[in-house]
Amino acid sequence: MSAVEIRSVTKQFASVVAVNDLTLAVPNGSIYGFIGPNGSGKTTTIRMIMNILVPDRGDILVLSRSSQSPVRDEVGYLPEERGLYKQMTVRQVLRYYGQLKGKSARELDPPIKKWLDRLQLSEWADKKVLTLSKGMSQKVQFISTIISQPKLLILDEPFSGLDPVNADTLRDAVLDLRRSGTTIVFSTHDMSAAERMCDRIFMIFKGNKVLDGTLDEIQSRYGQDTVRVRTSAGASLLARQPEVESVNDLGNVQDVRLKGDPQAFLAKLVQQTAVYHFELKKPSLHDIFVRIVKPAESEMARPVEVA
Amino acid sequence: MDRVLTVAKSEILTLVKTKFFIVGVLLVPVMVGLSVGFQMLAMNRLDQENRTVAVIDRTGLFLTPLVKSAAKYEKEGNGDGRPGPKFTFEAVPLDGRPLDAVKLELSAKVKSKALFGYVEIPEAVLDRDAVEGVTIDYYTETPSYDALPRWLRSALNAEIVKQRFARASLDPALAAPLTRNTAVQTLGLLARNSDGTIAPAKKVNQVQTFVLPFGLMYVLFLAVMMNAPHMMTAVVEEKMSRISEVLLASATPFQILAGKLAGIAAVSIALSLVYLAGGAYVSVSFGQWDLIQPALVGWFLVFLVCAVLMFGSVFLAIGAASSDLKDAQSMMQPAMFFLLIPIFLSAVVLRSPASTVSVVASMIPTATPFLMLIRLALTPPPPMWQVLLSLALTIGTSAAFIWAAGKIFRIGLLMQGKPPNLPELMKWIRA
Repeated sequence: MSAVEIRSVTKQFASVVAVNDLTLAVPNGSIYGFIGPNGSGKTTTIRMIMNILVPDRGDILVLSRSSQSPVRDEVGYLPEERGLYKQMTVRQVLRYYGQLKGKSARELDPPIKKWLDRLQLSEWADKKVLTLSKGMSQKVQFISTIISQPKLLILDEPFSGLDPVNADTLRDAVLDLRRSGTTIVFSTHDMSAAERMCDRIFMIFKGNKVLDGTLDEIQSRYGQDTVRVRTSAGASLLARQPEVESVNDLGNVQDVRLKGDPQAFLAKLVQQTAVYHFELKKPSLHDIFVRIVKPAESEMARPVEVA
Repeated sequence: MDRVLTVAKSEILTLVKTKFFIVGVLLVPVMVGLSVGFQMLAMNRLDQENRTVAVIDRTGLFLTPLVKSAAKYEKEGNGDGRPGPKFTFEAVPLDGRPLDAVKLELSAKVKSKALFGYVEIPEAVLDRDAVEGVTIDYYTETPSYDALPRWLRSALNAEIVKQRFARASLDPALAAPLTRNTAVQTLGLLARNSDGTIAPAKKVNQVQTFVLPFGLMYVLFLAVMMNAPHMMTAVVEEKMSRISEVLLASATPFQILAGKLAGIAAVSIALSLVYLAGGAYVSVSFGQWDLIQPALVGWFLVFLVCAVLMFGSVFLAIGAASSDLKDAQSMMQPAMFFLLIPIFLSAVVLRSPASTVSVVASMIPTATPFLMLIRLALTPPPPMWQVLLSLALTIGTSAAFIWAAGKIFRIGLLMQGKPPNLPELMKWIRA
């Protein structure tokens, strides 16, 4: 059973194809990571799920329904750009956003109190939004998204700009919501957060789906061609080896992407320098992201030759 | 519908907390009251300046009567219980000097503020065969002050008539009763009462013929002006602070638009009712019961809602299409022009409500709420078919504007950067 089903959806703005023939299914009760570089089509896809934008072609089912108006109340959306009424108090803005989802003030007051307590904002409940810090505003925006207890939650960069403590607080809240059965679509540029939290990951690039699966599936697809190495010679020696595709220098250790067999490379390396650490490593989501995006960017950045 | 009401409720609460509303409800009536009070005070008390006027009297007959009339005028004014301003006259003999030299000297005195002005009364004013084209010339540096020449005209003419009577060997004492003006009184029409008797015609109430229609139109204008542009600013701010996207995740663009329009309408009606209640209180205090016309208030509310929906949707669409307040202000100019046209035309409609210009102007949907309201407040009222036709056109136009604004809202709310031009807006509407 899918919370969101996208079937062959295309969306075009003037001559730019923002989303091209996209098919995707977000399973119920999962955390589904949306990744992709800026301008790749993530926000357009999310806006189409929210029925803010209408696809040019294809269908979208949200919570098994194509008619969006009743579904809207069961979907919480935290946009990347936060928007709160600065002149309202925290309580007023939470009530207003909750009422827009069809809840009454009486239904909303207990969860408002619960979430303000949990996110340490109780003292600010009757203060105007304009008096809040950026982190506090972000937490209020998060509460406004979940206050109506949606079945599907779409979070666009929920942790950006938060300090580690607040980021952890929100992360715990998101995981709790998943445990209670909420499906979460989680759009982020934070690859490690996506690796840690998401059951499945979808990557869109230039409007096309380039990744879709569990982290293990994706990492297996990209093979075990990366090793983490610590030698006495450092990164420069590694970079000179013909078997090496690329070196990511992390300081004391280097992540090395190989063209050939890791065992043969280790055998060759021990003859040239002292090897203190050699570990076969699955490619990280970060590596995979860079591998997909970088060649295309280099291609775009290459100067045009004039005949 | 719930979403529309939720948005409307929030907009109402936001609007009534704004300075615009507080100023509108409290300060505007206070300012209007102060302004009227100040003008009355100025008329009663502040015009106490002594204005000295030199008189070149070529007849030698008018100085003494002028001085006498001025003293009476200062004491009794126009007979309305208020004293008049003080005018002092001094004779200027020519003593054989050329007239122009004397006038030049007097002009210098006016410039140096020694005199307020001077008057030249030619001998020919008394010549009954040569009166055509003969004028009494009043020279001044302050032509905007017309109380003095107005008084001079009546005071001098009364005396001239007396002198002409004397020259014609008639008793000058007969001049006043024989030349007395007879007033023309404007009355309404007679009607037969239910008991068969004839009801006397009523004297036309000047307040009813001018203040009521203009006042109603002005209140309607104020109600639209004070809320719609403010709401436009709020939409731009929602766009700039990305609140729009949060709203769109919970309601359709049309629900948001409808909620905002309902909010403007409710606040405008509340504001207008406060003004109308104030006006009714003043009318009753002055015994002007005729001004309380429930049917007219009904028409006022109908046209108010039409005007708010029509101009409100235009202003909200402008807000949705703009990326910042500067864009919105420049795009709002044409809409303001349409809003001001009825104000400019109101004088024509007030003067001649059944003329072709008035009928045609009051049928133009953007002007109907203002101009048809004026016509309804005047007698005779316009034919009912004209009222209903104009109302139908206005309702149709309002619906079309709301539909177009909904289309602009859908695209504009998420649009950032350069605002659209007219062809692009039309494309959004057709999309």
